Amino acid sequence: MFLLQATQPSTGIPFVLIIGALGMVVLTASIILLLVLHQRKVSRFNARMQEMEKEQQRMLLNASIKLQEEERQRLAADLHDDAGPLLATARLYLNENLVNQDKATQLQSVYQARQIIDDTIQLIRNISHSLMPPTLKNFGLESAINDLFQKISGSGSMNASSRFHDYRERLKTEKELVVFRIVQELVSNILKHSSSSFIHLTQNIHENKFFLRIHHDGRGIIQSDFEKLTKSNIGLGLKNITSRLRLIKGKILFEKDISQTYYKVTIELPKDEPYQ
Amino acid sequence: MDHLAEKQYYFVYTFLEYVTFTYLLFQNMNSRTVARVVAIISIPLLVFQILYLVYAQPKLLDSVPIGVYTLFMLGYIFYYFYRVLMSQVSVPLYKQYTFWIAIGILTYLSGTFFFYILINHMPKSQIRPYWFITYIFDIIKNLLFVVAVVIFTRSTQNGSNKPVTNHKTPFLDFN
Repeated sequence: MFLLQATQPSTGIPFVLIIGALGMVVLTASIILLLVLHQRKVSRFNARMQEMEKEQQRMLLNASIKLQEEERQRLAADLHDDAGPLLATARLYLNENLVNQDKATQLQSVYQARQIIDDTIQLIRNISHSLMPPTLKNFGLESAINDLFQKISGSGSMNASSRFHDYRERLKTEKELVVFRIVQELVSNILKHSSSSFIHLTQNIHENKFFLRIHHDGRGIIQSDFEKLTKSNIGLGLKNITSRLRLIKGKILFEKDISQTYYKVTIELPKDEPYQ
Repeated sequence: MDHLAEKQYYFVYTFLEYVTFTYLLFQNMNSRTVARVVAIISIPLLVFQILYLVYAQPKLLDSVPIGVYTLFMLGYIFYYFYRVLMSQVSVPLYKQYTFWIAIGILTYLSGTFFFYILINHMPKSQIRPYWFITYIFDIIKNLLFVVAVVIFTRSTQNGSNKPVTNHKTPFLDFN
């Protein structure tokens, strides 16, 4: 109405003009202010997210260092408590040999020392195998996982099976080891916490990505639980999985089957160039 | 300058201003769809302006096409702001030269909108004293454009974030 009145050539026009221009300027300024405030809010939110990301990375690093230290302690304990006394005993037998000149006793002590050295060799071999499974090194991930699952199944506590659909081209050795360690950690968690009756692993390749999926019918976790656990102070194994996956640029997804009967863990990683 | 020539001059000026502002606003958007939509919208606007020039007899300026162009330009600017708000770019707004261009155009169009709309209804004696309004907003716009030019010359080209493409998982179930 005011505008209609203003369209008549009268003295009201300059007033409308000034008020209109000022109104538009105020509107413009408000829009700009709103935009700037919104962006500042978004920037603050992004900064907070970055801070949280850094915190999580720090926790992952701590977990990985802690795990490494535990592994070293275990190795040190194995060497000190088992290999050390065995070798000391073998030394005693050999010393005895130097002192005792009796032929029969000497033979007896040499035989004993040889037995002890054989045991020590076996012990060191076991330690070495726990560091790098020979099946994995010699025959690859498929054989190592099949071997692991056969051992679980053989114990009779759980039905375990694995199937590789497309593993004609092996991943790089170091990548295979990381994947194997992740599978070991997941399987160990399932054995410890899930009370499931079976565990099944499948592998496939799709769009140049390598996929591994583990199914089990026990108690499990979903993605939100996994994220919560990796951000908390507990869940060292899960943190270790995350840091290992980060190393090979992989992803992990914990979910429940659509039938709500099984839990699924899917590992996805970029496929390598063919193994040389 | 006779009346017809003056009308033709204003016609060309209005259209060129619209084209220039639209180009400045969208040249950095890298969207073919947006460019196509703007081009499709611009054709009827040009036809309307020609019809207005031929059939209407404005006293001084082509107020109606200016008003229509301004409203469309304001729409483009709001769309630009919407895109800026939705984008995940972490660069602050004041460091983006297109932002300064957008607020320059917005300030100029907002400030002069009422003047150009009402100019044909004002007596000539009143027009001259109020013409300064357009100068003020023209100067503000030019200053903001200078800021945009300075930012543009200082800015260095950074790599863009590649979008993550989704994909289906393969067969991984039993058997």
